[in-house]
Amino acid sequence: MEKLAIEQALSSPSVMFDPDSGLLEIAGESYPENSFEFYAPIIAWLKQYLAERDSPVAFRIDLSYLNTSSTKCMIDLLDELESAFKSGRTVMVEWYYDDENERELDTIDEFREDFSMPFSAVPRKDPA
Amino acid sequence: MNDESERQTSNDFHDDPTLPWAEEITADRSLEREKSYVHFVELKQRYLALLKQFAKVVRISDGYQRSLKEANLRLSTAASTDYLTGLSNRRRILDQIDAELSRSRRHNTPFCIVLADIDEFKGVNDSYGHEAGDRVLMFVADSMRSSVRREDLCSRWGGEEFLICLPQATADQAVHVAEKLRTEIADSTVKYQQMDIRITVSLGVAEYRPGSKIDELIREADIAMIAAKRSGKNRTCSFPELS
Repeated sequence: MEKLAIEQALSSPSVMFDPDSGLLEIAGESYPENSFEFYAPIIAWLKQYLAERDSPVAFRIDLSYLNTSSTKCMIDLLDELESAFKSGRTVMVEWYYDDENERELDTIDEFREDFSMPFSAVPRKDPA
Repeated sequence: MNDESERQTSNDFHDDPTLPWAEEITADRSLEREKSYVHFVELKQRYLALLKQFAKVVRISDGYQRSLKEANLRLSTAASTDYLTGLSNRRRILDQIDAELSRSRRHNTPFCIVLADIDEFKGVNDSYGHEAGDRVLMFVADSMRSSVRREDLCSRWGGEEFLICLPQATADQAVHVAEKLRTEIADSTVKYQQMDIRITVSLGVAEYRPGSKIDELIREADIAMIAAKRSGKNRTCSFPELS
């Protein structure tokens, strides 16, 4: 299975999903013109990866802004990981935030309230 | 019995043409009643789950919109504010004076600016240090805020100079505001590490005349302020009187 690598653009985040290390990273800001089009291959890649392998997965999210449809797509990605976790896989989600902005932490709490997999909010070292 | 009454309620849902599953339900009418009921319950569950997710997405999204809005506000405030005093900066007051000049030109209304300069400010810095100097600048800024009219805009023009924009003010009114500020500052003391620092300001008033340009108006206020310094400081001069 190939690595999934998408470079950061003005309105879309960088994506680096490595099937060998199990590290999935997404960073930047997300407000592409068509979020569903942007995220469809990412969701497809994740589904295939979760089906083909059973190694531990770490999903690292460092997004300072998401528009509404990206939010929906992010929940879809997290749903995939949650169901893998429920069927016994080791899954870890880390969401980076700016510790000077309280709202960001509130937003992460909104995201994680429905999930049972390990889901931590990590203060960002350097401003993104 | 219980089952029966629930079906009764669900029939109300079946017949409601505004609900999203109405069309599918109609198609199912030909099917056996029991089958249709199961289908309806499934749809209802899916619909409720979608509604719940939709509400969540909107909540999260609203959170991002709010923090974006706040970040923008912080940026625009920083771009137009003097960091130390919280007054407008040079760029902001220039925009305001420009807008007031256009307004006075169009409606033929009066308009004044006042330039204030702290007397012997270098002496404050030399004798008490820069921290005391900053304290003095903040004190002058506070005095300005409390002396001017609601519609006036105060700015830190540079170093120890402050510029006030007074929309629709005649020279007399501007002199009145300037004198109020001058006496308030002269009658107060700035407390700094158990010391009482006394300061005064010299002020120059310039009044808009038809055809006035922004740089001319500011130069006139500067000339008036320098005249106030030369005639002994702690006073207000106005350009129309000088000319």
